Amino acid sequence: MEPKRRVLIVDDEPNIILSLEFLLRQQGYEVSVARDGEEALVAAEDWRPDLMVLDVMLPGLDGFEVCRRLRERPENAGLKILLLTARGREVERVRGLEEGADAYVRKPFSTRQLMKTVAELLGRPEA
Amino acid sequence: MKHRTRPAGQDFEPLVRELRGSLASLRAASEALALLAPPEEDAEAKDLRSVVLAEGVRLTELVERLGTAVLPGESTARGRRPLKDLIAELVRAAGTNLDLTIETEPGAAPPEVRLSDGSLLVATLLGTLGRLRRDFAVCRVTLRSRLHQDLVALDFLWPASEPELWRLRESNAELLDAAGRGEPPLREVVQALGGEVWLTVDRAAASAGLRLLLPPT
Repeated sequence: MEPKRRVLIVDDEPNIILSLEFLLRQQGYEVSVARDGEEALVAAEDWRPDLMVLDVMLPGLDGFEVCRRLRERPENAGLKILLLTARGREVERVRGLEEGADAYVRKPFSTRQLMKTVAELLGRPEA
Repeated sequence: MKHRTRPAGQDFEPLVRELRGSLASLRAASEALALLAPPEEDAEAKDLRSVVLAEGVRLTELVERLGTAVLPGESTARGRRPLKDLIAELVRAAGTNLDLTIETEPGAAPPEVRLSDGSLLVATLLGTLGRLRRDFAVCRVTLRSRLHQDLVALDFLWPASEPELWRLRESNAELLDAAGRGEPPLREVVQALGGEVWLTVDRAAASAGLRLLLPPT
């Protein structure tokens, strides 16, 4: 049996965490949560997720900085990063992709679409 | 000198951001609840759940329209000047006052994008470049301008050794978020213009830079 793919949610909003955690588990992923950028960097090293759902607006290190620091380390080359943002600006999307994110999703989003993007990034058919 | 830090309309941005975040939580929760509904669900409960789902989608469409309605306040702002004039001003001021050399790439004419509060952008950029010279001994900067996916990208690049790159990275927030003499922080000014600014580090090329992305207006 194929091992469960690991998804790390990085967000400081408990309400969105609650729903995303549930929906991702429903899709068969192993899920963990980090509530700020520093915690996300530690979890990336210790827990080795396959994909990170990373909010841009975080206390302390923002999502862009987390993304950049992750990409500086060759061992994270296989890690997929999906940036979430509550800002709707094109400049932010471009910046996110330049910092090394694989996908960029604006809040609010359709969770069906989000799950589809996660599945595509992980190279597996949608459950 | 008194500066206006935010063009009209931009003050809505934090509110729209909060609205987007809250709506995302609401939609995700309602869509998650749909998966938990029992097969023999009461018809009224099902109808009510459908209302929440449908209104979540409708509110998303409304917030998307609001998001684009806020930003064009920029185009009605007074004192607009072409970006190329501002860059010329920056090059002159940097060259004479800061002993800082800025080169534009040959043949790369800055795109015609107009900005309100352009003088403030120049003043704040000069303040940041001055801090780079003072704190990091940066004395030669190359300015490259180009179009990037319909946005204007300005790259201020300078050579930096490995230890300097680390020090710069650690000073990232201080450089971009600290207010200068009489000017607000560079990031605040750029974001008020609808743009983004960040520090870039290229280890392979041993260079660092400030990248500004500005939307066409």
